[in-house]
Amino acid sequence: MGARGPSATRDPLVREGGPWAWMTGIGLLVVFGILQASDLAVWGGVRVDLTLALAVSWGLVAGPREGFAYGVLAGLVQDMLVGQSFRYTLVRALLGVVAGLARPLLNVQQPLVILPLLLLASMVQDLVVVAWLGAWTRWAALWPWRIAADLLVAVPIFLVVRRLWAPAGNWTLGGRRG
Amino acid sequence: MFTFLRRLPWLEVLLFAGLLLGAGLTSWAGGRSTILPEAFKPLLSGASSVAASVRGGAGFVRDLEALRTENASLSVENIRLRSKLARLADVDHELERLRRLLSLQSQTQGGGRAARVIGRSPDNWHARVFLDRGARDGVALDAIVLASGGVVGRIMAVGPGSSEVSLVTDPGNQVGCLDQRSRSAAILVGTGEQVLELRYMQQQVDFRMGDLLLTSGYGGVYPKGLPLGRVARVIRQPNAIVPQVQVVPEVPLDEIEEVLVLDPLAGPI
Repeated sequence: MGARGPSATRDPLVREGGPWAWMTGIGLLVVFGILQASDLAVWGGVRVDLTLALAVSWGLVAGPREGFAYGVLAGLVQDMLVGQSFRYTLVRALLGVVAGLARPLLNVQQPLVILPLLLLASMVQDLVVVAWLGAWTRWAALWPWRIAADLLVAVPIFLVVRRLWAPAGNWTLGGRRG
Repeated sequence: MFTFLRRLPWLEVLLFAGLLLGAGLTSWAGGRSTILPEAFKPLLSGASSVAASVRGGAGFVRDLEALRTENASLSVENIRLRSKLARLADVDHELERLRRLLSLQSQTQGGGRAARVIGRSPDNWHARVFLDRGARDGVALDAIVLASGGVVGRIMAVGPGSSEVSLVTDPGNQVGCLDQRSRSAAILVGTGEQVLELRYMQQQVDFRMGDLLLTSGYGGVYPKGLPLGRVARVIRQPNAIVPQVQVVPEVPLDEIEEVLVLDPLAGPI
């Protein structure tokens, strides 16, 4: 048993963040939003939702208040690009809070923990937006692929957000470090 | 008695006899020069080949470096020419699309400005595209957007240098239309899918598969007579008053790259 370094004793749930994390996070939102409006985000006929994965990851890593703020920003980016009135903003603010509230209950050391949360978030967001538009036929045809595409990007985005929020955190790739 | 023999110059005699014999053999063999080559033809051929290979091999080794250099430069040239060819093919396609777009522009008797599609709606439910032309370029709200083939949609938001188009397939988008053949009128409604639906039609309408639908011009937003789409399916339910008609847009909306933005109409035509 060797001596453990200072980072090994660090609580991974310690709140960090700070202006640097927020500025980078907002920059990521803008970049991902633009990327999402390009054809690069179309995978197998469906458009992957990068900004939703960012918002949920942020809430899960940072907490409910931060999740709310970041969810609002992520929703605003999406609403501005879609040209709609605050539908995404409201939904993502709520999803950010929910992800933040789930934070103490889930093991954020395990990257796969983002998957069930993003699955839930995708379903909720789709239900709200699709119900508003009445595009149920399209939703029925697309949702398995759409959610699969979202889940595919979820883990890498979660890892980036986790490292961004707490750069010196004692993060692992495969579960709680013992 | 044979002492004189001992005095003969035997060496000279032998040499002389050898010369004579050699000359005779040469003369005899003169007309038979192909016997050996014929007898050993395969061997000769093989030897010649080996010699040629050795000579060629030596030459190959000598020229290897030069060949390598030449091959590398030819490969680079090949790549350059292939990419140039691909670019030219792309330009050719673009030219064809623009030519068709211009012919459509002449139908509208109006001006307009060409624009490129630079982005699409970031979600899966809206059918919208972003253009690289905005208010600075004269693009205005509610201006009609065309592509080669027909109507794409209309401008729903304008920024200084870009604008957003709501495609005809966008949920809730409605365009008044006429059947080119039967002159039946209806409203073409976007559903968010690749297929549009005809609604708000009279009981005695006559829509058939393959019919071309044109803008009716009734709403005052779209000019009259622009191609919208073709009837793909007519479903007649036993208890329904009017048939359910599905329409495929005339323009492949997922593939548009260049469009023509018309000036908005001043009022109903």
